[in-house]
Amino acid sequence: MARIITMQRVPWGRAVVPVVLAAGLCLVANAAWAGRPVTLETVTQLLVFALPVAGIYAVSATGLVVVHSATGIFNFAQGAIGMLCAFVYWELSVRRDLPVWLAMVLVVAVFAPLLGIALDKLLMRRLKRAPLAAQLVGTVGLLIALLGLATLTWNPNNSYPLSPLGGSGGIEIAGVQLTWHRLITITVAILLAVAVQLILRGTRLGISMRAVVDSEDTAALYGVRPARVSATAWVIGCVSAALAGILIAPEVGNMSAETLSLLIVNAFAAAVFGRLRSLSMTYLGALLLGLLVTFSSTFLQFGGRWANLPNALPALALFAVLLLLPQATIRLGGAVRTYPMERLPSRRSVGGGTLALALFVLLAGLLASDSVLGRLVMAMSLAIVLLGLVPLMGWAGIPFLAPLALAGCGGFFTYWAGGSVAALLVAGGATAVVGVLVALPALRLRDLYLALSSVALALVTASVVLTQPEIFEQARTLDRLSLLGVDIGDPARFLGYAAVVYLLLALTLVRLRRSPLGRRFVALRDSEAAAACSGINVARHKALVFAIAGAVSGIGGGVLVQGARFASSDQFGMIGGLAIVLSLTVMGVGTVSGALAAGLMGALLTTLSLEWAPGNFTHTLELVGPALAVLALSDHPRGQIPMFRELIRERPFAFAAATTGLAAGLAAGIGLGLPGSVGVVVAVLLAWAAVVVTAARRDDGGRLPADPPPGGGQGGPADAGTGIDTPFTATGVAMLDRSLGLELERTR
Amino acid sequence: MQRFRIALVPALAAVGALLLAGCGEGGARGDSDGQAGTSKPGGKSSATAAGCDNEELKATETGITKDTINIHLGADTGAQAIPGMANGSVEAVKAWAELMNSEGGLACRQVKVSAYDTKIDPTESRNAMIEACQKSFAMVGSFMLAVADAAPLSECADKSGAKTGLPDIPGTAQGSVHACNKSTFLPAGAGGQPCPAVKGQQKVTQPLAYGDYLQSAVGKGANGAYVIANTSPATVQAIVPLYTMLQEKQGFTADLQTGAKGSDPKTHYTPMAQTMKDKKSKFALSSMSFPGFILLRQEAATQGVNSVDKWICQATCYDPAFVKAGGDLVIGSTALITHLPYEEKDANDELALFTEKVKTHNTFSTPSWVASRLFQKAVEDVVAKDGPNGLTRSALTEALKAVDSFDNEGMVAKNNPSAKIPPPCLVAVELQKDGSWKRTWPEKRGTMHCAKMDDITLDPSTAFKG
Amino acid sequence: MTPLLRVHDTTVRFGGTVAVDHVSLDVAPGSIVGLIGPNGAGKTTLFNVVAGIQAADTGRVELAGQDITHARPHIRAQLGLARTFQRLETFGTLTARENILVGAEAHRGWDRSVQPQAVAAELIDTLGLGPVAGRRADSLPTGTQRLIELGRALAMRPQLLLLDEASSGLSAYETEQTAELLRRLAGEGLTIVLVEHDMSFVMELCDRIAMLDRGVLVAEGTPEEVRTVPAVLEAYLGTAAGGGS
Repeated sequence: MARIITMQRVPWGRAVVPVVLAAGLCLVANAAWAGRPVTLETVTQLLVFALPVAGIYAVSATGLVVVHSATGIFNFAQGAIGMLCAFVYWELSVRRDLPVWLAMVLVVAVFAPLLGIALDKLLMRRLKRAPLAAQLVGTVGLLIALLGLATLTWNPNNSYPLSPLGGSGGIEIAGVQLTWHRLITITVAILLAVAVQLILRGTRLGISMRAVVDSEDTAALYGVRPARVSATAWVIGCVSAALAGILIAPEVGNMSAETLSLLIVNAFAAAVFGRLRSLSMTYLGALLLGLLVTFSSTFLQFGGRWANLPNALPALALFAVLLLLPQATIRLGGAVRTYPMERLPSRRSVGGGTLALALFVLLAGLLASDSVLGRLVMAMSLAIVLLGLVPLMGWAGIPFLAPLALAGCGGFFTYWAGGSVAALLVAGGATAVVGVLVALPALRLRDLYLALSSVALALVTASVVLTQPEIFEQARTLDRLSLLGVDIGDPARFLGYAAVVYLLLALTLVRLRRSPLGRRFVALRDSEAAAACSGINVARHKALVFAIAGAVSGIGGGVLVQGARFASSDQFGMIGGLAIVLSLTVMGVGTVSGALAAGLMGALLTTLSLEWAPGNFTHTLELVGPALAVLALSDHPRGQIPMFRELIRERPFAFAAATTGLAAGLAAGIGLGLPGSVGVVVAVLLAWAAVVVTAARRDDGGRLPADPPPGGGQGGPADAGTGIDTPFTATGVAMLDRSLGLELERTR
Repeated sequence: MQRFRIALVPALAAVGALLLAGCGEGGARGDSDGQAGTSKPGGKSSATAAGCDNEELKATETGITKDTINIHLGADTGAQAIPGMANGSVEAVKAWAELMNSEGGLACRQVKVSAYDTKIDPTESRNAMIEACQKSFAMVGSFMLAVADAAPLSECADKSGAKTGLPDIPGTAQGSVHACNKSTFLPAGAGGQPCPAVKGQQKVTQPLAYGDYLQSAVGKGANGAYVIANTSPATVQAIVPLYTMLQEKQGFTADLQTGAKGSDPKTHYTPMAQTMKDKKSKFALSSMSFPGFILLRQEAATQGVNSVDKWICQATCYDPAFVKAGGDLVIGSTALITHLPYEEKDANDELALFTEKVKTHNTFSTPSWVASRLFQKAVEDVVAKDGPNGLTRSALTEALKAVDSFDNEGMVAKNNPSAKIPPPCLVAVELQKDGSWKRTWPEKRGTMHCAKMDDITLDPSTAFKG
Repeated sequence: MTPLLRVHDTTVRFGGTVAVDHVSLDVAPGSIVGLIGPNGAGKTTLFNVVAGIQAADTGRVELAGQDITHARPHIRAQLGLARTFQRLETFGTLTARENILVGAEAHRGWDRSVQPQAVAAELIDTLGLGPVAGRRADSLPTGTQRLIELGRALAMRPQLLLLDEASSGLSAYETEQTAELLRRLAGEGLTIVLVEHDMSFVMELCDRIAMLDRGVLVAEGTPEEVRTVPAVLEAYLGTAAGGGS
């Protein structure tokens, strides 16, 4: 692991944040006091109210911390895994009427471990090596996929009552009944924490797990079997999730899959409080969080514009905890797990891409129906929003999971400035300023904590900022757009307008990447320490890249509301933001075309399911799509676009065949009037087969081919296997000489 | 080989998901055909069946050909979070269309229904309106919760190109954007807020019937708990006027007025239960959807709240799913509905016909069926005046405007579809031990308690605290 | 003559460990100073303090008479301080040329007369990086990457150059070339401080040598002087003392 060393230490600085927070809390409490008397009884009652809430947070957060310690992955899908286990538990204990203890054993000791092994083998082993942002969105994709699976299998319109454990009795304290179920929850959280702590620190297995997290290769050299250790780690993680799920499910209304899966987000603050490694601090964090939430609901009342503030409390707590962490650090030791940089697109490919887009827009405008055009407009708007993430995540390597927060601000500024085309410029500028503000956490935080702070930002923006009466408490409508007197409200024309905006921004970004500033952003990502020592003002450049992201995503938000002709806070939610970041990451976060592809993919799926092939299959595809996306991501963390670019470069004919196959299948399905599902299945399988065949024959990893093609082969770097697995050839020797710089010596 | 394995997995996953979808717990999506029982003629029959052989029918409007009338409905059936939510609406409209077609058609033509899945999404809702404008005569029975823009309805051009607007008779219209639309007609009424919407202090029209019920059920001036669905500012503002009127004008004081979301766990209700215990609340009134209400009752039971005589939930409780989900604990809950209870089908022919033709009886299917009937009435009025070739969107709109009181043969509370105010009538039903609902107020079967309306002045966005 | 670099009574603690213990060091302008010592002696930590990415618990750092103790790294770069890193810190995804360009372009930030492309071209030529100039830095061997780092540092035309194990990973030939280059640069006025394990490299090249052991400065002086200090021989050089040709 890279050594981390601290920056300038300013002694009084550490105290400022807690003091400001405490002062803020007092002010808020004062303003929102509900008038409930503060007596010994009510305070005791507060504590008793808080304990069960804290128990829920604790049992969720413990799972998060356990998984992170044992696998190194921050698992957004932890709650979703618990949700799935809870449903299986319902299936066994209620529907099949098995005794409770048996159902619990089957779920916790059989289903959860199997699930853990499966997840590890299929997904997590690959995600482990992916860049941090890919890991995070990968787990988000898993969350969405599990949600989809649950809603497919157990229809949310039916009821799934689960009775609490231990029946209806309990202990009464200060007039409040603390049920057995809640006591069990609190106890299990503690026991789980203690058990996992013992395993991780006291057993060989636990130490192996932590070693594998730190450095898998080194651990392997010491006789640890990473595959087995990793599987065990995920077993432990899924068992924790199952326990949490079974305990929380009876407390949630009618076992809502979505609620159960997303409850985990509220526990982030507690997990971060424990620095994702100290389970005792996590527990304390859960207690504090429970107290905060209960205090707010019992003693405070928020009305009017602040009515949503209590919902955002866990996110605000997360912010506070992140700010309270000691200031992070300049990391030495090279860029840790970031994206391999994409080659700069050549001028020819940029030209080609522009032409392709123009052609596509023209065809769509002429042929597509209004509702398809409407979806394409939305896709293009989202593509522009995602463009803003390209310099931020792709070049500068800063994980940021709240593009819709920026887009929401941009949408508001656009509306406020009149909604015209010129208003986009205002929106860009104003959201750039917002971006600079958002950059402030980035100066203190790194990597995972920075990503989590962006999640908190997304939540707070969607629930508190955008719901202000001045902003989008009521949905706002916008007039038809016109440019220089020409009406472009018509969907086909608007699509052209949106495409032009996208192109202008994309080309500007490409130009920027080629410039000294673009180089500096990449330098920041590759080595912040070296960048700083090479004269780059790190803080200023981070602020600048956030400003650019803000401007571009803000313009994207503006185009979005112009296209939809209304603006509301629902358009800019957190989960939506995570989903489009997932799409972008799957397509390729380093490329401007990745943004467009991500947007179009969503539109394509929706259109497929609604217009061309209605029916069960595509509904399934829509729900399970994220699962496929995550698998695609884990397979190609760089993204599909770079993979396809290489595919086109190396095997142009196979690629053309695959595309033709797909198009032919779709056309046949539509034209022949095949039942939609059949047509889509055929098309997808055709294309898949082509890709599989292509990929299977493609060399990966730069190995020297056993028989080098006559003519010398490509000048890749020599592979360590040469001379061991494969014999040296003259070409190989020449390549080695080049790589070792021995040619330099000979030319001197 | 590695590559094949990797590529196979997604393919297997897709296949596996397909299988699961097939074997799942009734996971059928959207597009369900109306499960109408036997189609025996009953209730109303199409008045124009007799005079249809006389005229040569023409295509007089978008969505009308010489032998079909096309109608559209937008319904939130495919939202990822709640798949199949508004299936009842689609079922009801299709069942009504089948009924029409089996009796000789409407205005001498067969009725064709297109359902558009709007997925609780504003863009899809707008797409539904756009498609309806292009392909259908009118929108009938829609259930779209996420309408943010009704411009496609009001700006819809008819066959001649005039912007007459698209006649829209939805099952529900949430929010003033949809409800205040000029071409929208609501047999079930709307929230009572002024149209067009204003900010700040405003006069909201609310029915006095709720207070009448409370007076009869728990006594004048009783104190109780008010729990408000806090999912979004809109859901809060929809109910605050009624609660404010009950508290300030009708004297039912609030021991607590708190918000709750669907995602709040049971522990969120513990402080509420405690307050209800301390203050000995006589009633609990909730605007939440039923999962939240069940949690409230469960937590109240756990905490030993026994002073509450009436647990009153919104009409969404009047649903078999609520009964199944709540179990024994929710016995005795009261639902306040603005239509006759389904159990009284022998007291009202139209209700009997509805319960027979439509399999699902809930807050989606009932208003959509009623909307279809209003559409039918308006069409028949046009035909009576101008004949089957007089059907144009503007004629339909005029006919709809002319209906100032509609109660679907006594099945629902009478209301003026153009007035956009809540219905003035109520029936209270209570959940019995055997899972059926029994009417408790007013006592006579087949009747509803109708009272006057009153105005309350408030700022809905700031009136709620908590 | 005022020292170009003055480190005054600097201490760095990591928890209970004292990495740098009241170290004071003066570096005369135009000289080449070698910093030697066993692993863990605190050499790189000291470098990090001078370069500004590590805060010291006590002490002062002055560059050309200016107190830079609390200056951020990019400010120190502006004042003429450049460094390379013990564990490679090239900008891996940029090409060799772009790496050096970054340094030159940064320089242009405070001196408008600088022509980054020309500076980069010259350095690429000097360091023999021509054949690999267009290749991604992380695809190149370690030794070449060290040269790239050196080029990037030199592109800023610094007054003071801190080299952390510059010869690590270089072939004997390359080491010799580098030594020659450094000598030439020092002759042109560049002050160099280097951390090294290659004794012959250090002894031949440096004007003065300082030795750290467990955070403490145990010896300081010319190579001849230091070579004979018993503590040095004992702690570091062992039996293979000197190791000349």
